[in-house]
Amino acid sequence: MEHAEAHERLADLALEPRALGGLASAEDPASRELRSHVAGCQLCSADVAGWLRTWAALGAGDRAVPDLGAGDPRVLVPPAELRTRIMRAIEVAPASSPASPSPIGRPSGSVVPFASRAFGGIRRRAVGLVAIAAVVAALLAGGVAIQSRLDLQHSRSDAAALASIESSVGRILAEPGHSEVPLLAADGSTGGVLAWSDAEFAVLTSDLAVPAEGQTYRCWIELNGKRTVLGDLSFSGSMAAWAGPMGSWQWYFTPGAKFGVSLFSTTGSSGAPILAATL
Amino acid sequence: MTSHESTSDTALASLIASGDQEAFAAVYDRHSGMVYGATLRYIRDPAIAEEVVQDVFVGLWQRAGLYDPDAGSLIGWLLRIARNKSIDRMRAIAVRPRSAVMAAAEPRDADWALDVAAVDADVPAPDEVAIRGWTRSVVRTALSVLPATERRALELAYDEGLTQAEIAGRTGWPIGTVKTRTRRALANLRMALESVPEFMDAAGATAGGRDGTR
Repeated sequence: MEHAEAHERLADLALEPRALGGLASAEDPASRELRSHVAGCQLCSADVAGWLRTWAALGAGDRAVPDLGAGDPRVLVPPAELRTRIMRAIEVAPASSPASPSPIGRPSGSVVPFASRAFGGIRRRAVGLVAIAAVVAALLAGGVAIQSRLDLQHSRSDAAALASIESSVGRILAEPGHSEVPLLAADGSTGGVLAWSDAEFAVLTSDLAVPAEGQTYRCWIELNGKRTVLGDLSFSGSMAAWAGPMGSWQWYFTPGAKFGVSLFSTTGSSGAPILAATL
Repeated sequence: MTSHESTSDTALASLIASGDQEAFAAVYDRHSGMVYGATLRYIRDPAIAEEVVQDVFVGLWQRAGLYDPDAGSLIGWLLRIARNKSIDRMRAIAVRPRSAVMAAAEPRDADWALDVAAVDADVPAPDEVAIRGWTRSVVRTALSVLPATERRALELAYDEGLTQAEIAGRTGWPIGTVKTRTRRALANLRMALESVPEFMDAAGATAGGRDGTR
């Protein structure tokens, strides 16, 4: 069966949840043929899953429960003053810059000096992650240099970790709702940045010395007095970083939670936080 | 009302990225009801909902260049921002002392009571409760902004399990009209659900109907 034909048949089936759900067990030749196509077609199988979930969402709507303001259409209409307020706000807010390419993968040739640590206010913090992203990209671009300093196994591992972190940072930066906080050293200077979106988070710093044998830097998050380790930082040159999926960690990324990096020994003991931030 | 009624969301986003305020107003007029409705249903506080909506749209103005139509619909993108900001607000409420939470939130129905229980816990609220709450808000709002005929078509198909032909028989609409209304309603609902990545994760990309024009 051709993809176009299958797509068209699925679009018809999608209109009836029972018919769509019944595709999995229908035994007529046409259904078997369609099922066979769907099984081998990523687009169609994603399409079926999407429509099934959309129908299922109607159940999630739990429409039996009285809706807020039922019979009062005003609750769905934003107040007119809000429109006025927002239009006024955009007149003074800086407009969107045209779809500029992410700094990731496009190092300008000169590595942005993260050591300048020009963080501070919100806008400067935003500049910080972009700068660090450029450093990561530059380190990736300089993979040969990295290999000359580290043994082959480590360099491969670090390069893979950095490539993953580079991807994470790129995705986080592309999320309009992403957040960033500077990581502060004990003397109050900014030593790195923690950034997160709803899907993932990344820690980047160039403020740490390479740990001695048997030691590792671990990042952690502390909420309601309970500290939970998130992972070990990967090193490459002077850059240390860690990135991971947000998943259920999002519930720890709460205003007032503390995030930090501490040096751990292989025996599990840890020292005072070397870098920390309050969310 | 603006002159962009028939302009696609994708084209509007490009215009906004170049600083076009009229295009921005068109997107606001087209989608603010959905964003505001879902946010208000989730947060239950009109003042906070307005703040979230303002954050969402000012964010659109400042970052429209980051919108990637290949990654999803514009309304899905806006709702995802609203979702993140709304959940952040609920988390902030959750870390307040109990008395403050209770003073700020007057339960209105069983639905709301569930949400209060979620944010009032000492431990972080289970993410599935928040996701369920947001999903419920989005679905209800998406249904409420549909034309009555489209909503009716969905309800007859889902609640009563009628086929398209049976819906045509019940309503007297031509079968083609039934299909058009059901298809359009489903596509709009699916685009809105893009704001719940946990819900749609396994669904992959939206099939058709990404654009906001009608």
